[in-house]
Amino acid sequence: MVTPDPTNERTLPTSSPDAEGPDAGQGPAEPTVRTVAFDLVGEMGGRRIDRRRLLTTGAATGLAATAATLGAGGALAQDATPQPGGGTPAGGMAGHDMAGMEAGPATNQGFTVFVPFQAAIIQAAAARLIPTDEHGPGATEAGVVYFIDRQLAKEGMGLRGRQYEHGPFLEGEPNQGDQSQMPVRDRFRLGIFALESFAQQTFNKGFVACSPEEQDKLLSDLEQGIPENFGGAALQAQPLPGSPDQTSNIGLETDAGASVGADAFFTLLLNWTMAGFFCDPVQGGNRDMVGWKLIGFPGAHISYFNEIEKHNQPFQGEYISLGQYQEQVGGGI
Amino acid sequence: MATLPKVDVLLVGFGLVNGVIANELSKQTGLNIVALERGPYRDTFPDFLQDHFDEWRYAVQGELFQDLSRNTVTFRNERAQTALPMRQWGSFLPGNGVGGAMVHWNGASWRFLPQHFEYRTHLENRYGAGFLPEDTTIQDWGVTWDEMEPYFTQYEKTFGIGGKAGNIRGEIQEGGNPFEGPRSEEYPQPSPKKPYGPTLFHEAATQLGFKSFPQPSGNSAGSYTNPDGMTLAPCNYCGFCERFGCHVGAKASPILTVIPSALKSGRVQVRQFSNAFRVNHRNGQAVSVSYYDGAGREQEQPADLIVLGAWMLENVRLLLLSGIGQPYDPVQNTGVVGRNYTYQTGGAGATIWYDDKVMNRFMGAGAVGYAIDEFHSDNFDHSGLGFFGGGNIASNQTGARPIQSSGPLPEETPGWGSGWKAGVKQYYNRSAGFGMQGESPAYRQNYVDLDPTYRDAWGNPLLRMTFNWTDNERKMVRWIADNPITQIANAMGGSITQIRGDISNYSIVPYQSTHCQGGAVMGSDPTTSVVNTFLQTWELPNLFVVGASAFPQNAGYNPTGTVGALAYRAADAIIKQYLPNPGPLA
Ligand SMILES: Cc1cc2nc3c(=O)[nH]c(=O)nc-3n(C[C@H](O)[C@H](O)[C@H](O)COP(=O)(O)OP(=O)(O)OC[C@H]3O[C@@H](n4cnc5c(N)ncnc54)[C@H](O)[C@@H]3O)c2cc1C
Repeated sequence: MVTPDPTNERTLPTSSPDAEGPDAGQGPAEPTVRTVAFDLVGEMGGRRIDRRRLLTTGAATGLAATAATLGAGGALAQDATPQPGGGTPAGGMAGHDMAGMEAGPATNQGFTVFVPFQAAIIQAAAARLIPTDEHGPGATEAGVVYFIDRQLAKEGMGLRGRQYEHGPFLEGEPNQGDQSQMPVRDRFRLGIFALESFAQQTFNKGFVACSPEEQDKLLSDLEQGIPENFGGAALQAQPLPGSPDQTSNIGLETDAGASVGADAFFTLLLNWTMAGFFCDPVQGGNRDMVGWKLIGFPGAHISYFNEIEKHNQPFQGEYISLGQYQEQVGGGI
Repeated sequence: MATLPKVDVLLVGFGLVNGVIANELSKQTGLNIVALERGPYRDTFPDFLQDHFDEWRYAVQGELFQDLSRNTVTFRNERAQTALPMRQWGSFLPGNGVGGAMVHWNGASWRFLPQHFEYRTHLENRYGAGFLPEDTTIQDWGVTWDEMEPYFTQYEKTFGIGGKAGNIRGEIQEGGNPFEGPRSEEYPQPSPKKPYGPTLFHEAATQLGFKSFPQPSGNSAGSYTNPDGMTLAPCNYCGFCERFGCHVGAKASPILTVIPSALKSGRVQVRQFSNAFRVNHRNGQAVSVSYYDGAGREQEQPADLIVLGAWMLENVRLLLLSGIGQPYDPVQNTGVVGRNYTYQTGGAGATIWYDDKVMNRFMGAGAVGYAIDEFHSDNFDHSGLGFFGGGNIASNQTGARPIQSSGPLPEETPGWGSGWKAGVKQYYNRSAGFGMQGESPAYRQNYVDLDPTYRDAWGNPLLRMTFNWTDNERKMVRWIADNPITQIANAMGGSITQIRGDISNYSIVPYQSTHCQGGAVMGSDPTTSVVNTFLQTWELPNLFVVGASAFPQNAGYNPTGTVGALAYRAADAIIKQYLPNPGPLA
């Protein structure tokens, strides 16, 4: 596992935009994921659910509860037991994010990669990274979780588009870049479950049931690389066939290589949350252009020819999405 | 594998370099030309006009960049490390497709300074032979400013570059760069419009007594028709420039100029989706190029004359894969192919945030702003400073798309949560910035060769890059940051100012610039160069290798103006000297 590169893509000057540079480990971790999943599903809805019963009904229960969280409505949302710290059991958003719900469409558009249970955790975490507050709508209204889901559905896309995927996969220096074979989709899968089990260990409840303050604490820990065994897959990493150096540092002595690091997952989640907040709506996020409206980015303007030399005068034009632009230039499609 | 019928001229890569070569050959000869280009053909209409405003797709996911799943480089700072593949795009973003990287470039268009072409001689004459660090392998180019000048002019006219001359035939011009070499004439276009942030830089620099001048630009200021009858539209300052194709045909690029002009002849055929992997040669002649076609099948294309214009990294890799030229050995300090790999030294810059000003940072284009050259190259006295070299200092407003450029934000702003939201709301649109593009000298320990482990999608070794900054660049960056950059930043006013001036080890992770040079350098001595001063290989007279691969070291400017001039010089030599009398030109 590699420490994330400290460079932050949003703090660099316009002339040299950076990109995210975190890392996760390598290797499949299915068995561990399953174990963790059962634990956390057991906490679903903040109620102790008999493990055995869950095995038969768990999927349905979890799904419905999560769908409620995501705004699909339905009986479960009303039934949900209020939790200490506010919000309905499966989501802080029904409480403190309520204001934001009015600002954006609350319908669940369905998920193509996540299951609603995973989506609810991403939604809750994104809502802390970009909260709905006095400055306006946040990640929830922007539909960040749908953005991430849609991006994860694209075949062949890595952290930043197509990437080189031939081995051997060795651990390198941070300035050699991410070296993990793990697809982004699996990083999210492991990261979500790891975040959930971290919440369980720390506060004895699921992440979405935690209060905003508790959620912030968990996310700050992640950012600082805590816990060290985050996503700590119990799998033993294997030397890869064809590796030129069988004794090299591919995680033989620890299992870190088969995990997604806390700070690496945090960076990935933060970068993709920001991207979902600020992307063109065509990519599935930034609904109603709420991200752009926060900072005053007007979108797809064909020309600023007459404006660029109006120095120090705030631009008064409208917000235009690519879809709206394409209606104008697309010749009738 | 199929061997195809022979053609007169075979071009590998169809970007700037081979666009220029194809255009000149198609105008001045009747030869049949085939260009192999690994990427697709895209054009202003319909591609960029209808789609380019999508930051995630183009800028983050890299729609226009080389397909890394097929081919990348491996990287390490020094020989003791294991080089690992660059798996995601970072430091540089090479092009992929007809037109090459200029389809998505910024457009900053420079001529290197006269002393750059004779850099070792110049520095040793001024400071003595012991002045340069022992491990630097900087060298003269084997050409002079006077020899290069006509080709710079031809490049600038063809691509409609806008700017303000600082020196016309020896006479210093008010408002231009007084340090530039004498030009034969004014720029073909005026410089484009100026946003607010760069204007604040310009005012501060001028007030301090520096000669601030407009950034020479390939963002067309007006409607322009070039000598081939090709047209550029005026730039719209839409802010989607670097990493994007231009939606209105205003960014100087081969797809608007040399390529359509060459195609008009009817004697140029472009084969898209064709990945060249080897130049075959026999008895001192290049005979053909082997490539994988779009279906992945191996083809062999014979030709009389072959020009590699596949950009620096692929030019050098193709030579190494083909066994042409002696590979460089950093231990013995022998061989030439892969030697003198250089980059562009960033790291010195400033950001200024204003509470009382609004910048409209989302407007802009790749090269709209101002620059100063007082601290570039040897334009200032280096006695006692402990380093050589410097760089151009410029402020451009390229368009702050929000995924990648919602910042920079003041240091104390939290990275997320309500505090971040307050910060980004307040300061996204209230910052101005500028920075140095520093020179990158060549060193014995910085080079490229073939990787022993990692391979491309077809099984050929990747190129391996071994590169790091040295103390010379670290001191240079620190000094520039502490002196002119701090002075100008302070003079720009503002509520908060942040200066950057530290570089430690080169990293492949953050984007810095697509300015990769060397590895097949030019010169007049075959023991320290791969190509002669006409970019013809010493080994095979019918093989030319053209591009920034020929730079012996890099200046403190973006490279493309000089690449364009070298391409025109090579085309001229091919047409006037080589074709009438095929053989070595030097
Ligand atoms: C984001 C960005 C911003 C830039 N901004 C500036 C700037 O402001 N100022 C400046 O001076 N320069 C800038 N540049 C650099 C500029 O784009 C290059 O210097 C210029 O394009 C080099 O021209 P070339 O012909 O050597 O290579 P290219 O234009 O890249 O053309 C090479 C072509 O060869 C093809 N090719 C490569 N390998 C093979 C193969 N094996 N088989 C077949 N085809 C192959 C590629 O697909 C490509 O189309 C920028 C570059 C980038 C990426």
